[in-house]
Amino acid sequence: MKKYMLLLFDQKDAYEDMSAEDMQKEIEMHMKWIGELGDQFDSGEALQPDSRSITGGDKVVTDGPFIESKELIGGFYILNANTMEEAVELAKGCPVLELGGRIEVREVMPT
Amino acid sequence: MDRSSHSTKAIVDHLFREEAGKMTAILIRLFGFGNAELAEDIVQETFITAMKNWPMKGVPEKPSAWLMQVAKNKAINVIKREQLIRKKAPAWLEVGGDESAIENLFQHQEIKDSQLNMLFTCCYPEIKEREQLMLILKILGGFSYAEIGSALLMKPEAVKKALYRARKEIKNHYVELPELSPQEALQRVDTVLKAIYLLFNEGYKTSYANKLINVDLCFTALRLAHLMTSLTYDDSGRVHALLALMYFQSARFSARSDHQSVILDLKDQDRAKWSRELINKGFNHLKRSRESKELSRYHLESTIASVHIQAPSFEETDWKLISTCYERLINMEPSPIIELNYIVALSYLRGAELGLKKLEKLQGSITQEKEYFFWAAKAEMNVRLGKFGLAKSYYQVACDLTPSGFDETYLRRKMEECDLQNLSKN
Repeated sequence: MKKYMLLLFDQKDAYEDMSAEDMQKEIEMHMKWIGELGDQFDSGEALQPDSRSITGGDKVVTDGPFIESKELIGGFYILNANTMEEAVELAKGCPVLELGGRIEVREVMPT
Repeated sequence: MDRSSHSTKAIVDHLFREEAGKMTAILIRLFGFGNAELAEDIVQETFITAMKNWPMKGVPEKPSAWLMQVAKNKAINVIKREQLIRKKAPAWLEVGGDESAIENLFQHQEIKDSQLNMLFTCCYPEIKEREQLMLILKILGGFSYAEIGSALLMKPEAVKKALYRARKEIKNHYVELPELSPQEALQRVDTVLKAIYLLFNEGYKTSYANKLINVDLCFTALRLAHLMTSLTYDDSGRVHALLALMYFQSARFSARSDHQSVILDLKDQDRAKWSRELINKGFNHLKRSRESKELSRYHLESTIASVHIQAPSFEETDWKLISTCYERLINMEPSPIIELNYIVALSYLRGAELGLKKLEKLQGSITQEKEYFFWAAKAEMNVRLGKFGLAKSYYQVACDLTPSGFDETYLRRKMEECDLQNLSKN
């Protein structure tokens, strides 16, 4: 089995007018999805929204992510899958998509 | 697999909804009402943190405590960071900026007090009843603008504007949350109970649509009423009477519509479907409400509901007792709608003919918004007298007047029944 990283791009304002109940439901959807993944779920981390970008030899530091949009990487999952296609199929079940987010799937390079 | 199934179980129903109200109430007490939006933002951020962390790490063992801790940390950070707020956070100033004193605000009894205090503040008498409801839903119920809008049949933008106005009005009067004296609070108990009751009714009248949001309104109303039972200075039993009423009504939820989500009349409901558990809760509170000598409208209304719920069948309902209760209600709080209900009850006791005669006097006195009840009642009495053509035309009037799609479907079905009856008669 190979490892695949799912980078989760959130819509920055997706949570703004969500009610408490909506948020709870969102968590439940994630838990359900992870439950269904079973052993194919490896790990994951959430990221704080605040970010800095550092550019070039001058090491210029700017606020915010590189992406010039209303999106940011909210976290990542690592899944176990045999092929990219399988990983993509699994990623399709991830609830961030329902909130208008995007997912980038990358294979973790084996060492 | 194991981790997640265990964790999902840990997220009990309505956890966030409940915690949102608690946290917002404490934080507004800390920051003052002038910073209510800041408090709401912190709560929102707390939930986002949970939303990101729990799926990855699993739900913490004590989710409520976890949420409280995160909210507390965020609040302390904000205060440290913002000199401005430091000046405006009255409760924080009061404790001399002592962090450990904030801990106290997050203690069980204080959480309760904060919520009660917030509830009384939301029911500030100078703002409209509807705005009181919106404030309660937003601050103590964790509802979004969109949800409030869908519950109260308003556009989210309109909810936002109304809430802005209401908040401003309260801010003009209270920089910080008022510590109402028992006497002041006691005077406002009526307003608060009425708001809770209206909240429940908003949920109840559309609950047959089985829309979760509306059941949620009822649930929030019940939760807030339970909170009110901890008021030690109010021994009138009103709160228990209101709770009894709401439990009796809730007990009939699942029997109130048929498979097509059309409302069923009380007489057509399957009484076996009424929830025993909720009925028992209702009777418990009814009993406690009678420990006091006071007789409030809630005492009378819960008694009426208890009579309905005890009747083995619609025909065996004790209409005499119900009519008596309505008579006393009219004396207590004269209103055409209560009178209408009285006449309906009386018509089952003494005949539809008499009912129709009494209705004549009531015509025109009911506000337009609720006028369709009048015409539906008039139609129903005509059905009982076998005057199906007449009945149908009255149902048509009711149908034209009702603002609710569900009521419209119900009334249309009634009209079809009139047609069928007419056919079989000829």
